[in-house]
Amino acid sequence: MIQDAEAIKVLRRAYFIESFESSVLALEEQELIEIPVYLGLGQEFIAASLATYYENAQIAIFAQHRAHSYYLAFGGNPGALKAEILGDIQGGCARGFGGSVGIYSKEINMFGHSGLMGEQIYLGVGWSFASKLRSLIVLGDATIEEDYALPAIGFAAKHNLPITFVCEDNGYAVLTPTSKRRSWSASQVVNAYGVKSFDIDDDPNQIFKALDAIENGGPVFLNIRTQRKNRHVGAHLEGDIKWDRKKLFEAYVCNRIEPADFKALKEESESYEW
Amino acid sequence: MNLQILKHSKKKVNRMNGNNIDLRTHIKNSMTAHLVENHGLIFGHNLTDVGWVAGTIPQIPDHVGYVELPISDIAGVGLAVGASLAGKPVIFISRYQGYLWFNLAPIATYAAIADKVFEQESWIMVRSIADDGAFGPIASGTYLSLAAQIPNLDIVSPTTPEEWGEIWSHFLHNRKPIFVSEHRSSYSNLQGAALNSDKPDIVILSIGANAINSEKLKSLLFEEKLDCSIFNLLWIKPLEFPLQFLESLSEAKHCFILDPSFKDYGLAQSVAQVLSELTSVPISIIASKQEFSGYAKELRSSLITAERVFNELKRVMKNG
Repeated sequence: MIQDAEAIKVLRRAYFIESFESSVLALEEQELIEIPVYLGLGQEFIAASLATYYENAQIAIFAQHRAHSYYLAFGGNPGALKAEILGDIQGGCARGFGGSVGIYSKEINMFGHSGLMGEQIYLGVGWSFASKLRSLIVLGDATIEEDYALPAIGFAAKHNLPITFVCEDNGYAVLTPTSKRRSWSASQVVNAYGVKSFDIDDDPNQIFKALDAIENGGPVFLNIRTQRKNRHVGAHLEGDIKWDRKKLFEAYVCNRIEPADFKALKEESESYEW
Repeated sequence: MNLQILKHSKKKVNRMNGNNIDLRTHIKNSMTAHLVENHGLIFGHNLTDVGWVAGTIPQIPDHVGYVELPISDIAGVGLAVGASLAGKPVIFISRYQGYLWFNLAPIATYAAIADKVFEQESWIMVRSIADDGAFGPIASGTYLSLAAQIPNLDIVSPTTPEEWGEIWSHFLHNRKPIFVSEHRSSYSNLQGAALNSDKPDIVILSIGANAINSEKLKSLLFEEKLDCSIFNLLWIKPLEFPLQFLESLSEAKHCFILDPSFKDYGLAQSVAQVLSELTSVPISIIASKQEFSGYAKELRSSLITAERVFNELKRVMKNG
């Protein structure tokens, strides 16, 4: 269960990510970004929760193409990320090679992504096998359909590797709904492979509760229902937003801390300059 | 073309192997040291099974360094690449080069680019074993040209214990991916196919380990009053012609490049193009037709044998 101090940290991180991503969105809308940009607005609370939960853990991050939130939540340099998105070879966090897709940071042990959807699964599993350390592997509900994804997850189960798989499930592969692509549930299939799995919402409380349930340090798979405000790539709006996680979690935190403290948090969130 | 030519190699051909230990045993000894002394990992399918990869890995059942992979040809090598990112020396064994159509994805999209793109070491050796002349399109083909298209990937083809020793030392001292093309028919080699004559009429450059019996070819050519030198191309990428090969070429009437993989759009054509800029000696290629092979005897992939090379040489030289 999430503690109040942790809830505040989650909210602070989510504000930070939202503020950064909003600044990138503004640049994108002004057509000042030349490369494809994969925004994660609306999904901030997943990365914010995971970074808070694993704040003091030795962990490696294997994210995918939509990873600004993980880079920022785990302590990556926002200036270097902004520079990368703007194509700055000198100042970019991936020296212009990564763009929005392939960001990485040795400081926070985050590995880059080449753009091959799902590679982070076998890479992260292999890394944990060799290092015996925990990896956080982030995927989407389309990535789990890649033919090499499930064998790698099965390998993690066979060797009881310390891995946290996080599936950001917005129900679409670009604009194709999951129901048109497959008839199976990711969490059920993964569970059949021997990995403990959870179907939850992007609520920090649910995420913390699921992570607390990891037994014997082995793998766990969180299928987290979420919503994204923008389409697969660029600034277009996604459309049908069913819940507002920010408002919901603000209300949760607001009820548990002093009003002055909450006010200070809000003011801090409005003070970021990009 | 992204081929680097190192013309001033000091390496010698006709290397002797005083211990009379064949290539198979040398590879096995390296694999033993890798497991036992270096605490490295060996990934593959059915490693600890039947022939222990044609006798090239030690029979140490349940050794912690052996990683039996799920039978998944993309995820499997991907797991090995992931392990290589953790700083351990990793070997992935691909039992047939036909599997490269699948195996190469994680090598191309991550291992080969990791240092340049992500500032990340990927310390992995891919041992890819060819077996042309065997059965069917997957188990018998040589598909080295596929790997040659991958940027930043070193590609070598050792055919002798000496050459293997050079490659193994290179791997231990360079934490980057290397692709090793092996051939089952080379495993019993003591010295390999290299032969060097003073003034050869014909110079043969062999790409990718193959099954040629050089002594037999030399004797066949001798009956036609032709002398030849034969060289193995160890360093395929970056392309490094043996110095004695280049010296021999200046004396020769004809150069033949042998390549067990497909001729069209393949490695041999690329090498021939580079070579044509260095010499005016006519260059011909003996390689496979671009077609999949079958199981019936007449449909199998054809080995590049001494007889086949001899017949092709005669045909080409007769036609000028």
